Amino acid sequence: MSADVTLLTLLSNYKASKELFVKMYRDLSLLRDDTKANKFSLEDQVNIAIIIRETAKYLDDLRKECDGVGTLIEQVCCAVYIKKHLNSFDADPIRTGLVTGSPSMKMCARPPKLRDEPERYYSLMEHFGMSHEVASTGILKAHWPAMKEYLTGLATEGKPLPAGIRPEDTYALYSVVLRANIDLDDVIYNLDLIIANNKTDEERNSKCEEYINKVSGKVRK
Amino acid sequence: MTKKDTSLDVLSVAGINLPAFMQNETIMGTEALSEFVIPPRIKIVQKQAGDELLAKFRVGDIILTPSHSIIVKAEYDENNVPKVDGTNSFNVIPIFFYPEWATWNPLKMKGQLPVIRYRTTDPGDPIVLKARNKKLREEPCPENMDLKIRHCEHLNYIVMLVDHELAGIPVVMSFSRGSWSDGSNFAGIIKMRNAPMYGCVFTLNLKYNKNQEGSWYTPTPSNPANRVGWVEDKEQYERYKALHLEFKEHHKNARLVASLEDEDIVDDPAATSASNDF
Repeated sequence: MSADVTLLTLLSNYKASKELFVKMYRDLSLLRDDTKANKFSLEDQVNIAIIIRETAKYLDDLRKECDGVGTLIEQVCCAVYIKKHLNSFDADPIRTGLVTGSPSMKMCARPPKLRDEPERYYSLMEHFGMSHEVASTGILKAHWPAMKEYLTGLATEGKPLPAGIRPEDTYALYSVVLRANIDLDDVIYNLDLIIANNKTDEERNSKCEEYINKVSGKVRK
Repeated sequence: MTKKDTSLDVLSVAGINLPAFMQNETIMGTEALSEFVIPPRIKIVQKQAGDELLAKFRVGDIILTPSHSIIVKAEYDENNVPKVDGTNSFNVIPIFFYPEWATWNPLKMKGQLPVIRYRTTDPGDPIVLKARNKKLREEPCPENMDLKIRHCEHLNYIVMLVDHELAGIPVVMSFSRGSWSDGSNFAGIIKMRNAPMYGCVFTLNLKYNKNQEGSWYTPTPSNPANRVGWVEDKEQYERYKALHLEFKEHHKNARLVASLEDEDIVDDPAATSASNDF
């Protein structure tokens, strides 16, 4: 773990965000009811609206950052795992007391565009049985999430790429399928118990660290 | 390839036509040769290659080094540049993969310092993190603080050429710097097969790359379009499996060496930032 951000820090953030979620959801529900009951003056309503809008901006930015950092960590984890286990095709997933992570890969490609690369675009459409005439209207377009699955299937079966897609247009999408082995709220509950049952900060910190190391450690099947 | 094979210790192997006085003689003096396995390396001739190489080959030719045997003689298009449409390609079966990390001395110190300062296959070595971090990848050269040494990750694949007259010889393909992402993609498409790598066939196509430092060619992997993507012969498969285990053992005993020091590597385009070096 990073010297500055430990699992304990992250769990503490999780706990704080959950508490904030519960509190804010309750407040917002009250506001919804009061608004429907016409309890606010116009001035009150604009005041409330601006504060909620600004709060939403922060929360939305935070969500995006959580998603971004989480995705980055998954990608790096998957890429490193693949290189580490490339010689053994049936390697076990990554197991800790907290989670089981199964690295997963999908094949993706930069799609040819009708405007920029018409020749390759028509080749690809023709591969899927679409006539030049229909393809040129732009009425039907490839559904890229489905295309990703299709390309991944071809890669797995050792089959070549469809016409119009060049090897250099392809890239791998790395991710990790995460399955929690213990509810995070149970971990928080156990940490709260440790804090309640120990008197000094030193004892609490040491016991919490010991518990976190135990729960987050590598687990063999 | 140099490998330890105890069955060759005594020269009484059937089929070898030796003078009578050498029959049943124990081989001596070749122990050091058996110590390391150094497979030949696949290399793409770049426009920045040395004069000697460019006198013999054209840019885009894919060769085996150090023997300089030709694997693919590049075909050119009407603009006199190597074709990158799949014409210039070759098929391989990956036998074994291992990453390696090396610290390269500055190009300008060539002749004064060895090309490679340090190399390791230990994933726990401090240069591993440095090689993966853009900000830590370069450090001042201790012998000349104005110049930089560079830590690189090399993705080394031992492969067998397929459908080729050089088939049957394990060779190494090393991806780093300008070809690192192609090597990384190769790992991805191998993993996607969900099968032993030595049972899969892949095609490497010539790809053109360009950045501010220059242009260069790399091999980009894909499933083959001109043949089945699997090893279909069981005997061949068993042979590749045995080879895989053999290389695994060599790697475990630190006896597997990719010959990265080839002089042309440092003459490759933008060797200090992004170059293809295999």
